Amino acid sequence: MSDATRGADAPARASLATLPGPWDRFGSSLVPPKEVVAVRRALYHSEGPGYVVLPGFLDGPYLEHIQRFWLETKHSESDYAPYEKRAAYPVGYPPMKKANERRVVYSHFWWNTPTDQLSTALALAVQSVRNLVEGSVPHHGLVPDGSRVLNWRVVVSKHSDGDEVPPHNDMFPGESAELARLQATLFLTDPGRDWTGEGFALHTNQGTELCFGRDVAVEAGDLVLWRYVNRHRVGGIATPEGGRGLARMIFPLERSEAPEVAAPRPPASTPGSKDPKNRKGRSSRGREVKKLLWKLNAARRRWMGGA
Amino acid sequence: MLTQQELIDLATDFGLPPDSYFSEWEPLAKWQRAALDLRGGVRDRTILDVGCGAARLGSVIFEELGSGLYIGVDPIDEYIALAHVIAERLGAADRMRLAVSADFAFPAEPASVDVAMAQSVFTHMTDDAMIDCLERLRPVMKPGAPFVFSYIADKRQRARGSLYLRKYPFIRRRPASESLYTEWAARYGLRFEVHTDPPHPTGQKVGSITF
Repeated sequence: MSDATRGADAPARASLATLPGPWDRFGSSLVPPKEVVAVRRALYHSEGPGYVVLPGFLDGPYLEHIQRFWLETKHSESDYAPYEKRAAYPVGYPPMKKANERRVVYSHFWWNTPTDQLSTALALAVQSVRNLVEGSVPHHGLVPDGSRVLNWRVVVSKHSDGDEVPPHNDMFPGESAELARLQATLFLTDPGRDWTGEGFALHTNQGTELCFGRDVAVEAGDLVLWRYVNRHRVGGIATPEGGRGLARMIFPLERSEAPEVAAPRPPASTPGSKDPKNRKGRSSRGREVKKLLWKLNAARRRWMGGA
Repeated sequence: MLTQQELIDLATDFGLPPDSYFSEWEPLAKWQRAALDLRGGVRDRTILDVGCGAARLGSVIFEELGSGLYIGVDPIDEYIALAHVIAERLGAADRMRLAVSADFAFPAEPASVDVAMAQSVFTHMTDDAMIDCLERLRPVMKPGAPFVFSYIADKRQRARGSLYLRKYPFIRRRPASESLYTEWAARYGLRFEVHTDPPHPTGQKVGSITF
């Protein structure tokens, strides 16, 4: 082999160990860094607060872009279906929006075509961090396996006299690992300048209610991981002159309706056989998939205005 | 018995998240205890817990072991370390013998075990591994001692792989044919039986081989 074909500057064997993160071996990417021990203790231990703030998780041009895109850019109404609360969402369900003069909510499933690529990348990164801390598998919430899937939201609250989200605990009875479940709130605006009042309030593991921005210092770009079973609420918000309101990203997991499609089976009968249900050699699984696609298209037509 | 929050505190002290292993601790511990009670109880007896985890079974029998011994084996060293702390918390460190082992190296004297149990263990093993486990139990079981184990019964169960604790690859197998147990037992003149009492909390089938 000549030097010209050897590809001296394109090594066949390389290490990515110098890159941030455990990228050199697949196995090491599964093992949480030692810092996770302290984070888990803060979140779950009876002596821990039940939350942990990751300051400046989003910063610089990334934070500025997110603020510009969600708080200053006019969005196309046709990008969103009307917000609909369902027990379970079929895979492929469109992004949703609800808005009134007090609050705007943009809701996206992980499978949606990105409205904003940075936001989608950010949501996946937060899910990845949450999975790491919870001890969930890296793809938890990101595959249509019939369990819960990531439905990240941008919420902008301008005013609320009482609680816009009443006090509640998010429990998942009958689902495993409910004690480890975490929620995350990524603050996109600054308390004091953009909003005042109570905002997001969480009960600590000791039962004391704390308001983020008032009792716990946070600013735009800070990510708060918190224990989902702890009581929490959102309310008592006011937006001063020139303020942008309490804007944040949250990362709920919604139940998905994903049917598990098995590997296609050979048709029970060949084309032209006497089986009237299978004359064209189609498997029943194929018909189910076709039916599902038809339903999805019907739903899509409905939210696009009956077109 | 430890409270759920005490368990969570101990787990997080070890850096473990309070995952399903801890949220399902109590019902499974109670079932394990009840299954032992039906087979002569635990007082002054030697109990072998195959796949003992963090000594869930131990935590509900330590108080009543008397002069007995709880022996546990598990491939996950974090669980064994946590089991030591749990036993210490419950004042039972002197009544327990633990080992980290993935190949059934039971730290038990020959013919010393009164009852052995494997809860949700055969559900993760190949046929060969189950046979290996049974073979390695033979020398440590007392004559007439039962080995109680749960196994997959649902014929719709597909083979799945899981990343336990996000890092340990496990299989979750398809249902095993009961003839595997019957034939292995018959080879040594032993008896395999299926049990419905107490019913398993997650719907697994329960069987025993009496040595």
